[in-house]
Amino acid sequence: MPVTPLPADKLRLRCDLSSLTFETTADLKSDEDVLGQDRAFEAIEFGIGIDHRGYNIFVLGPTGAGRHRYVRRIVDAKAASEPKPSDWCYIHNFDEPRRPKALELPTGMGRGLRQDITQLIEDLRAGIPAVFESDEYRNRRHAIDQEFRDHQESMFETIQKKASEKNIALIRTPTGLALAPVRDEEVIEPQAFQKLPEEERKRIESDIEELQRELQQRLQEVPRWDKDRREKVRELNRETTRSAVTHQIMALRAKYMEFGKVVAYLDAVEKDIIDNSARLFLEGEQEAPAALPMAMVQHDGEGPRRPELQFRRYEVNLFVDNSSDGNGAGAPVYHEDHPTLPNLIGRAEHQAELGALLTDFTLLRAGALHKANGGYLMLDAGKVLMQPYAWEELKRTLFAREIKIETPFQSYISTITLEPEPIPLGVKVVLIGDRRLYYMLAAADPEFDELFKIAADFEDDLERTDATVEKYAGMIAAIAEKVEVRPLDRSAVAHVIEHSSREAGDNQKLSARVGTVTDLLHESSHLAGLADRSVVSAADVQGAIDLRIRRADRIRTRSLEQIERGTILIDTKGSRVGTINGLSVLQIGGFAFGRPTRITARVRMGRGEFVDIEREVDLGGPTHSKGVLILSSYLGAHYAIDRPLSLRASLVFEQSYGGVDGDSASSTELYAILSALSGAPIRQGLAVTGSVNQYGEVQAIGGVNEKIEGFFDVCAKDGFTGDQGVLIPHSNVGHLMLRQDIVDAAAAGKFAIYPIATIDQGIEVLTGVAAGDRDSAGDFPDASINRLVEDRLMALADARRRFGVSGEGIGPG
Amino acid sequence: MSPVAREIRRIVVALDDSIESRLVLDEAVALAVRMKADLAGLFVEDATLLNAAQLSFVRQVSLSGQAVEAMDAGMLERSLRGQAEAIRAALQRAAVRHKLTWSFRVARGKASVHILAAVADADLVIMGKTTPAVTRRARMGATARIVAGAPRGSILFSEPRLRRVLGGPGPVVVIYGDGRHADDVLGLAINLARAAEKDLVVLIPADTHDDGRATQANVSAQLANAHVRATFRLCVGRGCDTLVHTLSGHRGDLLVLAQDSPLLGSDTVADLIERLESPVLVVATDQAP
Repeated sequence: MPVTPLPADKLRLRCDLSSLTFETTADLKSDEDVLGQDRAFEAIEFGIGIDHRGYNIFVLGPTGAGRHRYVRRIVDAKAASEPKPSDWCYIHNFDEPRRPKALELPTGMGRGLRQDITQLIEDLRAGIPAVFESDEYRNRRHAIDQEFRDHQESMFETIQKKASEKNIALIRTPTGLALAPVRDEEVIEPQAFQKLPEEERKRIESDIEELQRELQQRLQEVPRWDKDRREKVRELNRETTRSAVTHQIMALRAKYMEFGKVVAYLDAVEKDIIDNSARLFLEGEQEAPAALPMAMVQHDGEGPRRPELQFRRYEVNLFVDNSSDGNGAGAPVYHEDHPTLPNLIGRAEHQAELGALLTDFTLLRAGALHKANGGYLMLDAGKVLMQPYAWEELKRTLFAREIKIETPFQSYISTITLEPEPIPLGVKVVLIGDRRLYYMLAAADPEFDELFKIAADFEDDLERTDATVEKYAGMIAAIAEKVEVRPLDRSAVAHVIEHSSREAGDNQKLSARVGTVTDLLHESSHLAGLADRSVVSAADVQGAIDLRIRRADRIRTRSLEQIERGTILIDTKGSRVGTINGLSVLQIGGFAFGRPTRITARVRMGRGEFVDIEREVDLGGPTHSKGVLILSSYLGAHYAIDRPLSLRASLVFEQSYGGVDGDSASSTELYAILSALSGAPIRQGLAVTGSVNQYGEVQAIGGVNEKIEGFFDVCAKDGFTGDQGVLIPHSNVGHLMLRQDIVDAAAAGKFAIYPIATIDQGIEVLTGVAAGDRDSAGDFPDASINRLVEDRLMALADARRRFGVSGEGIGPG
Repeated sequence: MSPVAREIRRIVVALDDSIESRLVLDEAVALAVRMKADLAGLFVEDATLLNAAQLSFVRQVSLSGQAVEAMDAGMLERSLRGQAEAIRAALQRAAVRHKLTWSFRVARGKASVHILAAVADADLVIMGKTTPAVTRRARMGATARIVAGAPRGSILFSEPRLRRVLGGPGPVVVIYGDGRHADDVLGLAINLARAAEKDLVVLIPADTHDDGRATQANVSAQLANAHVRATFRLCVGRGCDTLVHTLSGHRGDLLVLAQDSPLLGSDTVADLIERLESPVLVVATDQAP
């Protein structure tokens, strides 16, 4: 029974407007903006609910399927019912400054402690200098300094006096002191000294030597005196500071008495302030008496630093603030959009000071893991994997269950670094990525399965039924409301649904990529706005689709232009032997389009070889080669079974230079060979797609809509004859969601879509000649395509046999 | 007659390589900038030291008392040259930074002699009050004491570690005299007060209250166009103790007085300088400043 073209209503499955019971989406109340993801939803809810190590979640699926939105919704709902985690602070470690201490405090207390300490330091900065300016302190300090000075001056005066009595002067030299004989208050010149009697010279030298020894002894005592003085000053400073500090710290100690680590910290602060008060609170304080010769001034303690830096050590670095002012209710949900290593595990910032990079615990900054600690961390898997060290550190941290701030190049940089006390980690990580990443990680990283035990796989599409169509309409309404676009009328909603089927490449499916739908609503609404319409219509939706294609179809247009100008040879009229229009799909970016390609076949006597010219020049992929080999098998098994297949057939995709793969043209190639063998010309107004198996059954292919549209556009340019169309696999009929202009052309009889199940059906349509079935004697009917093919093959076999008898070879084959 | 604010076009600063001397240099640079004066540095290689180094038995004891070594004359000379170069470089840097005309001279001999010689071609000589001394119990070094007693020029004795002429909040205090140089002293004080943007406190020696009032009226009239804010204080007493007490009440950043100020009584100007923390500018009275 001859194949008839598909009726127009089979070419695009309409969305029945009568099934949509609303005027505009504004009438619909739905908050379901993700559909068809039940499996993924169940997985996420299971993963969120289970509280065991390693039950982190990997959400996989196509981009635009609403993964982020839905995961966030579930996680937010769960987190809202959970308690807020603790605040975390970093404080100075007075024993080991390089290892700042982590301080866990009840939620909200971190701020209070920080404020209290800030206030304490402010008070002390004012209060301590005041006690140091008191008369009591000044008098006691003066007494200590004076004692030292007296000691020192007394020593010098004694020596000076002794020297003076012997006409010897104590003089300053650039680097010390010297004793020299004087006369009339002037040092004796060498010549004058030499003129002195020897006895006097010896006496002078002896006196000087004696005084010198005494001077040396006395000078050696000065550091000890100074050490005593400094110790007395320090003790005085400590005592003075203690009087100002103790009662203030005591008040804080009482306030935080339940928190042992805070009390210990306050104790350390008190001790440090008392020990370092002079350096911290008194500008220019060197603990040295003003009248000391400069060379003797001892600078003790640390080198000079800016005053504000000196007080940093007492600050509280409120590292993670989970107070209500700083965060929302419940457990934290944190999405790190830029998961670099420092953004994940925190970092120690540095400040440049006098050319050096310095850091301290106040410059520690929390990472995403800290912020999400006690709650949920959402990450984009692709971004994590792109960042150096991020993936490894994330895994290490999840395994260790504590967050350790480390700089990856710590050991290579010559600067001050810190080793902050790690913070215990309790977080559920949700990674979101595409399937490729998931499978790659699962295959390549043995630790992946241990840490991400839950996979939530989002679907690409969902079944198109009356029920889902209704829900889909609700989803469109929910998205429209959420993204604040104009409401859509029923026709527009129907058009969006039809387009969704087209996106799914199946008229029995709807695309689950809500991102694409959202984009379409934005664009449609924009067009409606330009047309000054308050409601989006089907025309706006179609306009948006057309513009989207228009934006992307530069290459398609150029391709059509080349065909129109005859640069690429495609006939849409007439008939040719061994020549047929195949169809291929080009995917460029997010846009796919079909393009016809002329496929030709030539046959001659041979030894059953099929030369796939594409493969010979490495332009054919393995799947294509597989299709060609199937042709060989089909011919050998279908015709002249009792004779060797004695032909040499060559196949080529004419003017194809970019490589061919896939077997969707295998039926097309077979038709071309059958035409070449039978001599029956093929209608050039038809194009063909479909793969074939060894039994001549035509099988489904992908991109059927794009392929049909590609050939339709060529015919439209060339002019419709009423004899044009496309042969598609019958099993692809359910995938048809063709453009409206093709549906219209089909309805008008200008363009036909033939559903083909077998090669015999196809060749009949293409040649207008019956394929023919074998009769009871095993023969095909006269003049049928199959008869003609078989006769030709038998003739070739006979010829080959004769050729062999005559002793002439046909080559090595 | 109105006291003309006396121009200071050239300042000589006596320097060594001590930290105190660096502070004196800073002070001199600041004054030169304010006065738009040239600045000349004078470094004196101490003859006493050089002589001592010639004596083979003289040893140098380090300040820590840990090292005793012979005084090598060559080493000492090199050391002094190095000090001179260091202080010259410091002067040059400051002068270039402030666009001052500057010069630098190294002399050898007694510091007091060279400083007093420098007075001849300077409008103002600045020196440290405590130039190298073994002990600090005496506030004033021997050189400063000699220079203060010599009847020459205008010499500012500075001790920047304790008080600076510029930068502090205190006024310029001047002791008005009845000598023939009274107006010159007042003129110098006016100039310094203006340059330093300070108030002027005029101490007027007076045997009686009426005498003092008369002098005050006279001085007040002279200051009418001086563009400086002035206050007056009558001083009846004499001597260092009285002056120190009076001056401490004003917390002045600079005292300007004639070498033979009647308020000194039987004390010397050196005695007064030694007891005061503030810088003191002494104007010699045997020649016009």
